[in-house]
Amino acid sequence: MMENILKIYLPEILLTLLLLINIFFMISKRKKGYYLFIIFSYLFLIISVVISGAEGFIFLIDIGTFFILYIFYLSEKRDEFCTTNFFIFAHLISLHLILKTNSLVIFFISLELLSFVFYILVGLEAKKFKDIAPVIRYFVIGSVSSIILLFSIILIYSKTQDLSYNAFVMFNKTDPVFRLSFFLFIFALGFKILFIPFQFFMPDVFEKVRLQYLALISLTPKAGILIFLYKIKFYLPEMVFPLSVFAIITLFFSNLAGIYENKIKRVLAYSTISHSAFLLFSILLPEPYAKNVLFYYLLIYFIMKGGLFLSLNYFFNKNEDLEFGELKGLYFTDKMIAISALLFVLSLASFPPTGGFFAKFYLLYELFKSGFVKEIFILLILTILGFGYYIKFLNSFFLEPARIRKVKYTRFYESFTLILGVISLFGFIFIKFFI
Amino acid sequence: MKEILFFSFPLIGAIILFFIREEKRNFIFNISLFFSFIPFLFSLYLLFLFFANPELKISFFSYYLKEFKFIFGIDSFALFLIFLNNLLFPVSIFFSKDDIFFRIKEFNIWILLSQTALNFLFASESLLNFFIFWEFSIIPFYFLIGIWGGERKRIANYKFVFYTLLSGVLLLTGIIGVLTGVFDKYSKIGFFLFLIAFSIKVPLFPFHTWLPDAHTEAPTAGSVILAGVLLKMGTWGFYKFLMPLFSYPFEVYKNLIIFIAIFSIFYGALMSFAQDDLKRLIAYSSVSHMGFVIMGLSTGKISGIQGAFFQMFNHGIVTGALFILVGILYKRTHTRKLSDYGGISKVIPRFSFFFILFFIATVALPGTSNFVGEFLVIFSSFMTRFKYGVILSFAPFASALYALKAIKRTLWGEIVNKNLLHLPDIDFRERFILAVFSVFVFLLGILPFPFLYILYR
Repeated sequence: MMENILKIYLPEILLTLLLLINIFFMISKRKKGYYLFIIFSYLFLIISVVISGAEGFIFLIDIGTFFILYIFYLSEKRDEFCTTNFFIFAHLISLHLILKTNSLVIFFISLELLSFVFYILVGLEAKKFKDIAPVIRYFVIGSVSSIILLFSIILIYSKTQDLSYNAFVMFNKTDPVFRLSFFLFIFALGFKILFIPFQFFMPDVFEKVRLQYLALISLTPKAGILIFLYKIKFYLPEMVFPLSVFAIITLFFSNLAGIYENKIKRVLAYSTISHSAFLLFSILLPEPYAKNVLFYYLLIYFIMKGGLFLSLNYFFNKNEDLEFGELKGLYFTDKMIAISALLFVLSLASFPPTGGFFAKFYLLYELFKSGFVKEIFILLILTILGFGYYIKFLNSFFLEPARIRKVKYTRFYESFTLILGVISLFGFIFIKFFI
Repeated sequence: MKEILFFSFPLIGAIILFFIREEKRNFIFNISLFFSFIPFLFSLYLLFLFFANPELKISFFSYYLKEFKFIFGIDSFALFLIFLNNLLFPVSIFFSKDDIFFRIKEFNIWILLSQTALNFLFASESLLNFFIFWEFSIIPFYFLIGIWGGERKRIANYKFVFYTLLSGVLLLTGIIGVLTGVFDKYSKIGFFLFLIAFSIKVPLFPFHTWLPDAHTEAPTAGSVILAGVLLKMGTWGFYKFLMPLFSYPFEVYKNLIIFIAIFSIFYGALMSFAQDDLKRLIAYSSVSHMGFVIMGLSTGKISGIQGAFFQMFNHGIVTGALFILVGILYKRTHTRKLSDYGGISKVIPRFSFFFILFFIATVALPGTSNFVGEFLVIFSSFMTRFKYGVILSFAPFASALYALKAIKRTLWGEIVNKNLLHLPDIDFRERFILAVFSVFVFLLGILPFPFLYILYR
């Protein structure tokens, strides 16, 4: 029994150890051997995930995190790499637990740990009061939503005397207490996946966050929460409908608001919200399509969104408040980076034949088969709205005369980004494994 | 598989161009022309194969991924458009050598990518790959208009992109519906999704508003390809997918489509007559001509379909030539306004000869290729309903309005604008291009039977 538990939770135990070793590096301020430590940590982590027999989603999250770490490594603020990595380990532990647990309490604690990491990360760069205001707002609303979530769990426990996900099944669905707890549960989760009305203040928060942290916030935790929702669906199928309605409304407002944005980070935030809403629709599908579509979409999303962060990384090192106007004519100064960015943007905008298109197509196809015809039509129309802000990348990178100075990239960096761009272009190859 | 290789030649050219330095201007154009011309030779070879056996059907690629099919093949109808595609692209590149002076490498790359995509679009036998190339075709034109376009290129580009995206969304919904089996041949929703999607691209009234702007603001090569090939994507989709997939609602709403087509014919012609900008005039004439194509297809008669395909080809050639003529004029005078011209036939007689020739072709004068196409469409309209035939018989008169206006205001009269007194006439390159187009106008006008023969299936 003990051996079994040890085997199942091997990656989390390893992560805790790595976290402690990382603290040692932080305190001792030793730099020697740190990068080697990171590489080996992730190598061992992946091996432990394989040994523990964890599902593919966890594997995806770990690989995705390692990729984000690479973006961090490329940033110019390498002195903080050790500190950042501490938070990344902490976020990985919480995500692993969220995806593995069957207990509402552990879920709550893990979610709080995750939120705690983000409260710190988003506030880390804030120097003036003006910058910290949205972060405080994020913290306050986050705390309120945590309280609501905890309250809903208490309500569930009070009625069922059970703290596992099975409590949802045991509940009498007509009971007003269930309805209240259900409503509160959805409401609190809405904050975590940035549903309306929570999405309105998020671009303000994202605007103040370092691009590398934004990459982290936009990718793995989002995926983690969505995978959690996918799992909880089996216990709480009632949540599917309200979430889909929220997703459509969120998509509409975020895509509409994104059109009028000129700050790149804010547009990236809206793009994240928009893709989260799409991803959520994959949860509505019956099995095994839900899992396949979610996995494939997440994989492509990691590549295209992570790739875009990677291609914009250097510009944000110089100026965190970058606007589209400041990246005019990128094509003339950095051809390979501009072409890579083009491929990522086209993929995010779901242009065929990119991976982004196939991810959305596969999702819509399965939704159609499941009878969501009207929803598909609305989703597709909203996709056009979304293109309104993706086109800004193309306009400023390719159509305008050069305004920026050439950044000295290493040949490896450029090639890596371009290869990733090509992978995102030919992302349809992966669909074979998920159909 | 040789078809894939030959149709991908422009793509190979684009990849090679990527590694060539921008300064090597002539080399870039020559490479581009070479890789664009090879598919033309191949389609010429295919044309002779089809002359020998019109029943021939070449299936050159198929791949199945569970319920998703990717099938490519060529029949005589597809070949007609592939041939047009591979004819217009090299000509556009050849013309652009004296027309495009900056970002030459990119220009050629986008042109070649576009040619590849359109070759595969017309060879698409299944919906999914058709859609992929349908949407992909937006990207090169977004750059072609956005970088090398005129003063109002940004608005034109937005209109073009969003209209095409809208058509893509409708088409994608329809395609998913068909693939999942939700839309069958009786489905009215599926039918209307496809119909509106294709009507935007054709374009038919009232979905045509993107066209005049896009045509006007695009560089000459872009306008030639837009009018010559891109609009045919809609009519091809109409013939290849809409008509067979939704045969029942098509029969039910046939009269509605015919009404819209007839309205587009007259509306396009009258709007064209009202224009002062030569490019806009030609752009609106496209609405009118494409109305003829839809009319011919909608009759469902063999002669109608033959006429429609003939008209597609003619429109590509004649409108392409007209855009080149306007491009030539604009290059010399930097104005497209009719009011700035007048009397230039005395200064540039060779240009005037071709100008009259191609405008007369748009009026469908006997002996020109347009006559054959329009005759067949009007003939099939009479067969469908007498009144359709009668109404359509007046269409050439409507075309004559704008054609004669363009000729009169540009060529005849006294020279008011002193800048026009020393205009150089067309050079050898321009003459060569226009002569190539003229050959097709007369060849198909005088000897249409071999071509009609391969379209008789």
